[in-house]
Amino acid sequence: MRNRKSEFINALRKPLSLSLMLLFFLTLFVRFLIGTEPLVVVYKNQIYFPVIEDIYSRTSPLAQDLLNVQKDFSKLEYSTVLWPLFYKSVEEIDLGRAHLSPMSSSGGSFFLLGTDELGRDMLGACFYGLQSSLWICCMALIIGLLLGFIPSSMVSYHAYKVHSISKAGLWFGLILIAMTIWILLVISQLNFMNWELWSLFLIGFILSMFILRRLNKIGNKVSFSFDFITLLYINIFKAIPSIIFIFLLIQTYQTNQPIGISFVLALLTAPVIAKYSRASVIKHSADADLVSAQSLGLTHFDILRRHLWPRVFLDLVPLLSYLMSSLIITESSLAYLGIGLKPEQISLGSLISSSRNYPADWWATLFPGLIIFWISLSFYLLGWSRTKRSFEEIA
Amino acid sequence: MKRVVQFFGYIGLALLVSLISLWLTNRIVPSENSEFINEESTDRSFEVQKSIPIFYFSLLPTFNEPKLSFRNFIPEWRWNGVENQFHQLITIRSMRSNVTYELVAQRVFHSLKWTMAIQIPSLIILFFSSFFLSFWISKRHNKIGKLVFQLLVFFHSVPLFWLASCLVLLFSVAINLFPASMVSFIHSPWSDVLLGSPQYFVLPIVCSVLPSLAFLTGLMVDTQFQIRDEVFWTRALSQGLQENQLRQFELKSHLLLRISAWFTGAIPSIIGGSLIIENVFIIPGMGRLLVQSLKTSDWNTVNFIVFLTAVLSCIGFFISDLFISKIDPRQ
Repeated sequence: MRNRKSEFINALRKPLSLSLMLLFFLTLFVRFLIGTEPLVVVYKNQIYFPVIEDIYSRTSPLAQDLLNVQKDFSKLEYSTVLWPLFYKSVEEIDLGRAHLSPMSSSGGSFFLLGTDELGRDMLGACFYGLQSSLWICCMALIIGLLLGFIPSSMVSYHAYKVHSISKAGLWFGLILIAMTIWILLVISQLNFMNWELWSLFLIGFILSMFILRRLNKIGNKVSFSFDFITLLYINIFKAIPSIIFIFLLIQTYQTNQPIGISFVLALLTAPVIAKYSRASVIKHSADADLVSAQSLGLTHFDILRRHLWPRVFLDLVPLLSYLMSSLIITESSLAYLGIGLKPEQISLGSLISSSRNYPADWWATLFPGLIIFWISLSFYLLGWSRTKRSFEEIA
Repeated sequence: MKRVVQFFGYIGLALLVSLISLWLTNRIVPSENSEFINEESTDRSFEVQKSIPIFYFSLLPTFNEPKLSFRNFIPEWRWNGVENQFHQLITIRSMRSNVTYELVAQRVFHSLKWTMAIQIPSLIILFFSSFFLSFWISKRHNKIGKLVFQLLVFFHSVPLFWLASCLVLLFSVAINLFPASMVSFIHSPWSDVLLGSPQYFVLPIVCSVLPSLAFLTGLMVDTQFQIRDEVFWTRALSQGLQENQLRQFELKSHLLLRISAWFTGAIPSIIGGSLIIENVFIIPGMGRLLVQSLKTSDWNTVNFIVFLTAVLSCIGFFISDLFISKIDPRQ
């Protein structure tokens, strides 16, 4: 059965990778394919790229003229213009063409996947939704890696090593931690934070480390292990019902922007990454070459950077794939429940949610869901195939 | 002694989580976008709530002038007594909803019963079906076994809300076999509905079981293969023990260990209720109450749900630890 399972995964691997690449490509360049903004425009001897630049941020002849025509690019005349492959407004609401079934036409436009209750083209809406979903999830994964992987691996590297510190150093360190938390708390209450303050923090941190190093050489020593820090971090987040805290954080910080939602999702992804990084670091710390590297006099940071991080990261690849799969589902679930992006921003979850009131529009439920399912399944199976391959390598 | 310390550690963790939740909700600024049911009253009660201190004591100074001055960084010890939000939360009795002014505990426990009415049958079905399926798949080497496993893998990646929406479209709208909405039973006791109209529970339970079934069965199948590769298994077989005997005495304990580990992680979501299922099928459970409370800024209810979930989860973790130490054949 195990071989059959591997065969099945192997058979799916290539089409999955191809389809994932295709989906990534399509979603990255969706505005080049479908939209109403030209890709390149030469207007009054100046060149503009409306798809990738915010032309309203600077005063230009094009921006001024566009504001006079309600930002409708088609109403201006250009010396050179390159339009997207399909000139179609995805976000435009047109109730006259609402509830059109798949493969139907209206007003000279063809709708492959039909339209929703607001008359938006489902195909374009699905791609726009997928783009925002992938953007949020990729950012969440990157932030999660930064918050979970690097600190956890650094702490876990010393996890089972018993360190010694002088009593004076220990007290100084504890007071320092308490003071930092206190200062951050006060500043957050005052809602006052600027770059001068951050640089002051940085200078304070460097000075404190210097003093700590000096103090560590004075008096009696006490032993301690770093591992409890990672375990405490993991356990706190384990006890938190994650989806509840996602809601709370989104409501608290009123994060309707994709980057805010990514950050909130990353906060709950980071402990999972930290947990697996810890396990992987502890496993690899006992490797013979790492022990010999230590005895040869390499610094801890060099060992981490050159030897440990690449191995741990390779171990994390299947997990990241699984996490991506679950993040896509979580993000679309949030959108489905109406928490997250602004109502006017298209997302796959909100497309399905809005179709609940119109049970006859089966296409509005089916197609966005199929896209979420396909991409989530692809990431899941890719993670699984990677896990199987690593098992085979060990065997 | 070790277990007692562990128990109090878990309770401390739950209280810490509740405190974080309280702190977060106190930082919320009422937004114009919130869907207030009764905007005026909610706003007022929320502001009254915020004027009460969060914990038994305070250290933060009262900021007369919001600027960076040395005075603002000097801690100011104040004893708040029992008139604080945290005390109200853990003593349960006096806390009232910011929106409906009902007792929060009463509302939440009513919802908890509904959640459990869905989750407990789902869990029972899930355990038995995954046990049965994993044994069946590991025994079978034919196309049906392979197909079942592939189907399970697909189900694991299906977004729950989409699965629920599709099932509603198919079974409620198209063929009208199972009803989809429990909106008419919101104020009824769960037992009356379960005994009188069990058809309402079919789709929610199916939706709860299917995605987890795939994961749990896969986990068990993998565990079975891993254990069969172990030395003790081959040795026991070579000494004349039957495979059925081995399965009964060795495999079950290993499988239970894996399930316990999975169950520990799933406790918060089980207690918190499945937000998606309860919202799609309009079940008056904890998940739906939570979403409604968040949308209407009923922070007392939200805090109480977080507190209850954290405490019950931590108790669950402790019981799970005890259970694992009891059944682990290596200990």
